[in-house]
Amino acid sequence: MKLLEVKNVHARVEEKEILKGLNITINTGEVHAIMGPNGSGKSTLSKVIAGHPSFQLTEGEIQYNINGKLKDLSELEPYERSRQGIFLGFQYPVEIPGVSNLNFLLETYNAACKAQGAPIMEEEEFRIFLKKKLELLEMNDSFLDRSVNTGFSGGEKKKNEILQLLTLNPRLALLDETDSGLDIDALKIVSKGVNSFKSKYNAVVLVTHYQRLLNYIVPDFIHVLYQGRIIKTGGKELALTLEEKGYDWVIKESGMELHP
Amino acid sequence: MNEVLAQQYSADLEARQANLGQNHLSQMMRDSLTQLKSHGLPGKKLEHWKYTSINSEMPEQLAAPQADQASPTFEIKDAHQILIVNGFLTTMPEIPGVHIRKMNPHESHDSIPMIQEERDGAGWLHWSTLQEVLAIQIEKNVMLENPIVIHHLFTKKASKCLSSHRVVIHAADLCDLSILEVTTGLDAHELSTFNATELHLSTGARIRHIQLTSELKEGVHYSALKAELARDSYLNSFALTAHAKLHRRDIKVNLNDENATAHVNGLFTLKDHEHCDTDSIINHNAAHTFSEQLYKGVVADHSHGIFTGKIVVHRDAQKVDSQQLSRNLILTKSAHIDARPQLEVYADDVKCSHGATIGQLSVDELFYLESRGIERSEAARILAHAFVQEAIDKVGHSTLVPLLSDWLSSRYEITTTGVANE
Repeated sequence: MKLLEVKNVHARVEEKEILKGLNITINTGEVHAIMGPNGSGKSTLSKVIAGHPSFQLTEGEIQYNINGKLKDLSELEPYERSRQGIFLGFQYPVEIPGVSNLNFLLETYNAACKAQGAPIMEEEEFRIFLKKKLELLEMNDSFLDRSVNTGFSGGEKKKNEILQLLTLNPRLALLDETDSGLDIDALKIVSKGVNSFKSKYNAVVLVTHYQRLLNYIVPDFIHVLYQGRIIKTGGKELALTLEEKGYDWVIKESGMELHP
Repeated sequence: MNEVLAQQYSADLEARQANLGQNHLSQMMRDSLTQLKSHGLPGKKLEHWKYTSINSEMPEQLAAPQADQASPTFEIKDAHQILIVNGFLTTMPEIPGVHIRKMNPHESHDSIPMIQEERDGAGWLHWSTLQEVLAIQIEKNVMLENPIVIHHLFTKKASKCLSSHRVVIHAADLCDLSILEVTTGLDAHELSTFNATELHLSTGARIRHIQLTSELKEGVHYSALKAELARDSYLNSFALTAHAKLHRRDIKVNLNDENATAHVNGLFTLKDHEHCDTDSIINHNAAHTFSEQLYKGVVADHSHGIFTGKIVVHRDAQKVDSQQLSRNLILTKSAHIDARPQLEVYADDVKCSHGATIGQLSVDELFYLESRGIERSEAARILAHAFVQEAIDKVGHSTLVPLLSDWLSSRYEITTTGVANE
């Protein structure tokens, strides 16, 4: 089933155009990896889909499947997109001192439940609901009583993002450089979390610099983003070639100029 | 003498001092009036009053309030409660090892050591109009589980008056307790208050002092905190102002001997046309003394918050460690913050840091919460509360911290509409 369709999207931050006619279609059950050199627009794509207010869509359309129908996302506020099952895992998760992780998760979970007409949970029940997810991510229970991301290490913050992913159980997970800054043990745990989330009812988009992540979360498609456009799409084997040869050959092949 | 003061208040001040008795306190008050006449009321010409003008909010007359009865609107379970209504003691508890008494300038009584040192007319006005002094002496080794709460309450009988009161606390060696002072306007109108608190910490004493100020809709409200810290003593001071039309707070902390430590924190949350000006001086007078200061401000509407914080490390005060930070959140464009961290270091082997930040809620932080399904206005509220909570947490007491959070949230609703629309 078609979950997301990005059609000829142009987007800019302030006066700078970053996405310049981007097309991508994502179906349920798929894992897509977005790769590309620095500054090509990888992070922008995920932020535009989630509705970051600093990015303006100037042309094109993003359609998202809500109740079986493709709907223009620009009509939805970021919080509504979230409640409709779009999740963005942040490259730099925000610290919120004074708000406990448990309350934060519960509030976001219940907000989504209410929006979707599902029953909400009380704190005790919710703690039990979280227990298995914490175990899977090798997170101690004490994480729930700490302030959101406050004083967390880089790895702990990323695990916390995946905990939120597993709790909210969205239909579209956009993971923005979730692997950057992780040691190999944390990378394995984060990947385990994402793999347990994956199902035929949802889709994952991994934005990453490194092929290494794709050893643990195997993508169905790899897209190379350059200067705001997808210039090549391939299968999982493309990552190995990119790792070996870099991006220059893809850029040349596409007929675009190198390092403009 | 300031013209306004000369014309308007001269007769009032003489009248307030007309029936003084002959004691140490009344003599201090007479001396203070002489000082007040030479200083005048403070104005913007003084560097440390640069941002605050009190003339327009001062009452027409300096009438003294009448005694009255009242009950606090904020209760702390199991606290030792002291009530001071309109500047007069009405209720005090009996606590083993703690001696509480009042002194007034009309009756004869013994005296206790007090600090009569003022920089400007605001302090001298306090002394000149003093109604009572509440003296609290805590014996050596006394440790109190439950806090002492001093309620300063004001009723209709204090309307259009100037109330002046002083609390003097002497904490003997190694005692350990928490003291809250809660100033609440209740139903007094056009009231001004000029109050002060002195803390004397002897060797090894540990005092947590919390000052809450709210519901002072009109008038000028001046409060001073003076603390003297002896060897190995520890002061944790926290001042929270929510909903006061014009509040000026002067803080002076002297770290007088080795290993004295002061945490001097505070928070103000302002809206409408409220104005809150804190001027803090921490003196490191001895080597191996330590201070930490976090002062936070949240301003909305047309309010104006000011923090001036000076840390002075005197000559020979080596190995001092001092950290100061002023952080401010502006919720609407018409609100205003002035933050002035100042450092004067005359010793050469010290560790000092200071800084100030002024900003709005960050777009990225708001987006983080929105992307988790939280509406923008709610996201702003959560972030502003988190900002405030960090300051309250500095009180470092498991039951008082949640109590203060509740106290604040029932008195100040963080309005983030301006942010939400931008």
